[in-house]
Amino acid sequence: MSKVKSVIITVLLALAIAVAAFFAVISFPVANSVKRINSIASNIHLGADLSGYAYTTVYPEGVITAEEYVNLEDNSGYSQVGGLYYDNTKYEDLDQLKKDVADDAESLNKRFGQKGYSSYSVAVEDGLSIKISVPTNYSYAAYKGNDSSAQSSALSVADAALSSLTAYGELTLRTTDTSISLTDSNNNAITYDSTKRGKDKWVDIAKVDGAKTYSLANGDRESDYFKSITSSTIGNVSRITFNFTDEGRTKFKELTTRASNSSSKTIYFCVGDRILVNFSCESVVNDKSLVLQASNSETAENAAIAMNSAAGGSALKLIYQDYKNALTTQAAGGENAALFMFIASILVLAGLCAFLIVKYKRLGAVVSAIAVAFALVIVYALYLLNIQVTFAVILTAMLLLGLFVISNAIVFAETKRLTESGRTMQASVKEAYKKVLMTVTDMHIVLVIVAILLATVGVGEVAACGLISVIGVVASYVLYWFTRFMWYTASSPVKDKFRFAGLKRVVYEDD
Amino acid sequence: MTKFKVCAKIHLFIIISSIVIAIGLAVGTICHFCAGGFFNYGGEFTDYKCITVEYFAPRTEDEALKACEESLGDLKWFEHSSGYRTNGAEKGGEIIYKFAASTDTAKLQEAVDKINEAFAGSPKSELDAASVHEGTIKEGGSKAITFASIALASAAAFQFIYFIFRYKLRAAYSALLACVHNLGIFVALAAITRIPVGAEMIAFGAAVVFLTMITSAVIFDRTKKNFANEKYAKTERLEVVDTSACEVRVLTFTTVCALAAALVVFGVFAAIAQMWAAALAPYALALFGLIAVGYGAMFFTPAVHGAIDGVCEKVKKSLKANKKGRAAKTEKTADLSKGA
Repeated sequence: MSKVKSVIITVLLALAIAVAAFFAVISFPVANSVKRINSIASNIHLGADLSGYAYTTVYPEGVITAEEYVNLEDNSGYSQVGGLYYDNTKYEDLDQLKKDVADDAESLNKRFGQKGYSSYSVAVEDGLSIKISVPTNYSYAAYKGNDSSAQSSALSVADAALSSLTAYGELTLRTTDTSISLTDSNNNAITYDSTKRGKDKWVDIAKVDGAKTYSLANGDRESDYFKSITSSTIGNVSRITFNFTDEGRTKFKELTTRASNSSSKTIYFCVGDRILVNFSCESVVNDKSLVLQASNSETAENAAIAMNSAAGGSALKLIYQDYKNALTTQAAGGENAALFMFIASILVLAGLCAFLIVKYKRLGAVVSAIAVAFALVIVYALYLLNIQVTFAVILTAMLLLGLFVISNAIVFAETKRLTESGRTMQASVKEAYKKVLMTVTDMHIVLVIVAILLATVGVGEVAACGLISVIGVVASYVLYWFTRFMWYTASSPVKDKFRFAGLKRVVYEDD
Repeated sequence: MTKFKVCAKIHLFIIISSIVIAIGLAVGTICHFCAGGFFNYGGEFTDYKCITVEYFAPRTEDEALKACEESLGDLKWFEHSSGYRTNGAEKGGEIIYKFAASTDTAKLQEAVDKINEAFAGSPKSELDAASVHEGTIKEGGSKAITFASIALASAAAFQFIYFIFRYKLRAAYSALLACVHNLGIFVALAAITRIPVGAEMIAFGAAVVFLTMITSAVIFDRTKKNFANEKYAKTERLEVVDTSACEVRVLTFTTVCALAAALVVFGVFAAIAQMWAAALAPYALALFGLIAVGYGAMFFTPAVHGAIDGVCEKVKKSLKANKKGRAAKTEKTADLSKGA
């Protein structure tokens, strides 16, 4: 390769890395504007250890805090349990109340377990209240208040999850119509009274825009209609799939007949008093499953988990007080944990580059530049794939950087061995890459499969580590070959190719 | 270090590993019944008592914190967090101090009374108040552990099959044993040292398997190449395994040391960020993982591989000899019958 070509390629690579690094780590305000450009790194979502938890406590009706107790005009009917008070006229058996709360906490634990959080906790406090904590999912910019829209959107996502998944009561299918005019099989006009559930008058607990809602199920238990309720998201399209039992399919057909004849033509899917999804029903549905589109993946997932849990026999037993907005905590790893972890990452990368340059001289500088490129690939992947960064994910990224360096170290060691046998540099490099090809390929194949398994089978933090490992292993292999190319490019104009790689030519007496 | 022969010392390594794993299992089992768990589960997995302090504007967090610190005295909490109301009209927040479940509730109530007294002394909002609660954590990581175990078991099975094709069955067995051994050592060290274990332990377990696979691939590849090398044609197989292990030891050692150095850097920064030495716990756990991988890759795996290879070779030879013997016998019988 000519000197000019070599210089152009090297400069282009350096420029590309510099530009990518600039946008990856530098945040800056835009002149004459209130806008601030936040770096890619500061837009990566952080786990609870780096950005804190959003938490809420749910209290059954009739259970109050010490503050509420003090401020109550007549608190004579309340008894104390730990730091809480319960209405003993409402709950005569305290043990039963505690058991119900514990069972509900177990159900909530299962619901939140399906969310795939990197960490979360469900705790029963004083046996009477349930405290749920989930990661805020803030980016660093949001956590530090540099991106208020990202902050409020992350908070609303956490709030929506806490609110939807703590929905209590049975799964019901409702309408706003009090009565629906229908015709029977003999074409006789009949009226369906949706205010009644069987013989009983329907209790209107869910409201749509202030309007009461009524049952569409004609006294059936709607939970029996469904085998499972799942959600899926492909691209930007999120769906909720309701899979019917054989009987449920028939019943749902009847139900949609009523709904399609109603004036609102809408079925509201509720868990307790919360409307989770609504279905505009223009015609009769007679399929094995019903697929509804949701506004986003979070809404679809939350609704599917809550409805599936309620339909699957894990509906919360008690009636709980209205959902209170979540509180947020500072990062579990310390207020500035994310910043410190970032500085530590930069230091480790700098230390690695220094080590490589000392050991392999100019070749070390080439590998260092590509190691920086590798780190940038990881940063951009974390951002683009919305991977929540925790301590474990950072350490996995370091491990992947290690994989990249080991792959190169193996080939450099082989090259050194070959040059010691008197070969020229070019011949040694060619031979070394050939010799270690299978070793490096083996490592990467095994690891990419392991990473895919972790990403697909694992949940939460493990899945995040698996996903970044897939990207990291692929990047490591691609950049390993790119290092070969850059070695060739950068060393082309250099006369002493041995010195370039920090090696000495072995001169035999015959020479 | 590069000359240290490991294959001859296999008994030593098996004894060391067995002792570590046995102690780990013993300590873990005893603690499971006496101290609340096989591992020393961290705050996110253990029951607790807590003091919750609610404050409202105009009282500030600093004022509330000051009242808390003065009232708590020498009570030892293991986790402290401040919650902030981010929505709604009510400004203020919650300060929560978590204590071990064994802490005396009366002492906590005493501290709470003091906090309430301090709040009453400088009234800002009637709602400011502190209270004691007992919390029971619902195990949230069980699903993650189950799924991670399935993923890792499938990964090990895949590696086993892949290694059968790439390096023969004996190397596949050695690699599987290396994975189990390294994970065993890691778990044992975590159980023995009683370092608080959090959800990240699952990810570290996966990292141990990940690193074991890398080091196994490097060792077996070098061994395979050396077996094929004419230079070692007349050398004992055990000697070749030893030489191969020596050749890759520096690389393994450097890698483990580099990763350990990186961990130390992260650990120091984490401790500074939290201003608490307990923040080092996850890094210490990760370090145990590295120790397990380093020891396994440099000593245990090559030694075991040498032994397995030796046994397989013996079996192969005896099978060959048996086959030869049978062939000779058949030939002899055929000759005899011909002669007859």
